[in-house]
Amino acid sequence: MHGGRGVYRLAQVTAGATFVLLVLGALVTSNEAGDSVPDWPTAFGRWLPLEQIVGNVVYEYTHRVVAATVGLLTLLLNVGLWWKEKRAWVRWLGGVALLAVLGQALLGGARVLFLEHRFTFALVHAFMAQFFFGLTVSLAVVTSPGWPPLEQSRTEVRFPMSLPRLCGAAIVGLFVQLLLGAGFRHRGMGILPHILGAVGVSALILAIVWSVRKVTREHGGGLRVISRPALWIAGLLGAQLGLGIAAYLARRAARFDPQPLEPMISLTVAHVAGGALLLAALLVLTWRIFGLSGMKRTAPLLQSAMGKL
Amino acid sequence: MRIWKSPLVLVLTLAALNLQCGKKEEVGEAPKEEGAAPAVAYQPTGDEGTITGVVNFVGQPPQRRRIQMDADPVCVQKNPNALSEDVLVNNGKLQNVFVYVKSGLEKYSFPVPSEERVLDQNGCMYRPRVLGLMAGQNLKIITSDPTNHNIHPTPKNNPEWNVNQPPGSEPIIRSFPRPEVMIPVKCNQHPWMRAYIGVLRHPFHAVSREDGSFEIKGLPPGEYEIEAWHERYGAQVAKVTVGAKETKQIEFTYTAGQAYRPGSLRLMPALVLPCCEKGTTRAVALK
Repeated sequence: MHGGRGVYRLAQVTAGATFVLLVLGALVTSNEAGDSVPDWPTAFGRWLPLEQIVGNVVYEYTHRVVAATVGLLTLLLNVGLWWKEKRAWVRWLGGVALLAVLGQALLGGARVLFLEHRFTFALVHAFMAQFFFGLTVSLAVVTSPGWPPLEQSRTEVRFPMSLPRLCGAAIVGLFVQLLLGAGFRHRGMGILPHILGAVGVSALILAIVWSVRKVTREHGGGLRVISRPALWIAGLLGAQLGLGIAAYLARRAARFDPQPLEPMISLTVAHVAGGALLLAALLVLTWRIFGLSGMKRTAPLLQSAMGKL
Repeated sequence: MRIWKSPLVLVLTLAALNLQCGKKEEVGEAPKEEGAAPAVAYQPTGDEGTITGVVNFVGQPPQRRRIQMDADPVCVQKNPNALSEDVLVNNGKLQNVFVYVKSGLEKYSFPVPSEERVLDQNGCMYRPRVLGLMAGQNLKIITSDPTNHNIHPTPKNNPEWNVNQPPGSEPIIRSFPRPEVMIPVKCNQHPWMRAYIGVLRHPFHAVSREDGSFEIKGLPPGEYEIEAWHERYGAQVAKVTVGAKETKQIEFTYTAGQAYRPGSLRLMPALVLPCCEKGTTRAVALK
């Protein structure tokens, strides 16, 4: 059924490389380096402009190189999935990831080339980055040897109906929140929508953590497959809120700086990275809840739906 | 098929919507005010007047910050002690304030000067930092630095462009077709590099010098609104009437330490530049 350990490792590496790419993208934005290379896909008309990689070009060019690496990894992962993976829906998930990474590359190019629409393209590019990261994390989860967790679970797990819905709402909310954060970072909108979004997403996440805690207590404190990611989510939420406040205060304090400086850069990048990790942890938890509760019922439906495509 | 296409469809739809909504008018003549009488070409009569003045700065000016150019060794070598230039105050006088005729010239049109205005990149700084142009007048961008620069104006009412200028390359000649005060210009490779260009439909502007003084010559007699604009302290306006062959003096005064209202705390401000602390705006017509 599974693609084997090789495909799982490749999915893990792709997700890890995507996280590095997200951090590099945040560095590009925080250093105001997005337009340092005015052309695309070449850089200053060449593929390897060694002597021109100075100043902010370092961030932009590295971002492009790592992006190409991630694209290549996604292609390899797809080859692995279509070769080894038996589950059609997982193969299709890989296909979606491949399309997303290609679309993301085009969006990055559009962000550079269509300056008058740079805010829109920057926003969609930031959103797609997290969406693609979510796909790679999902692929790593569903190709892992421990998937689905139902097979490892000795007892039947009953979740409250609200938990999967809460997880779905939190994922959607987190994507909206990531968009609002990108809107503020790219100076297209104020901070207020992002603050309101943080309140809403925090409430959803706290409800999830509380609900998971209740379920695990009912099972005598076991179910580490869900209690561990829930713990991570709680910790990351706290860190993320702290980082968000710190990043905003640093940005305010730096408003008259002659250039982007520390600690504003590091705090902003850490906040973006924290958002991505929170999304990853939430996806792991959601997949595992899905795997524990409804895999046996839902998988055949998913399989047949994908088979019709 | 629909499932895997949806992210792409979303992206393409958003991009298409934006491309439609954000379409700008074709480049050409500066837009005319609706209902305004057609402007007539101004013929000098010899009665033209002059506005002179000074820009004062009251209070303790912010300390100039050291610019960290370490990311490009060529910049460090050429300009090892670079300091921030956003607020330059000498003996209570404020430099780099763009002073121009905001209103009062609507009935006239003026020929676009044939001479170019020069923007140099020297020591990884723009020289001058603030300059004025007429819409359609050529801007000649040169580089005196042995390193790469990109020149990236970010206007709101003019087409945006971003071009690279390697060391020793030919000057870049560009113009802005529409009036706009002010257009920020930046080099994304060296993010401390900032310049501001005021584009007007007439030639009547000045930039305050080191001693805060400015002079606008050749004004047709009439009533005017004169605006002073500073990149950090914002704009203030003075009203003045210039008679035949008259020289009028005006004074602008900016004050340090005014409360800053961050644009980012507004609900949805579009593309707010984090630049404009609102200083006290006091303008006095002296004579």
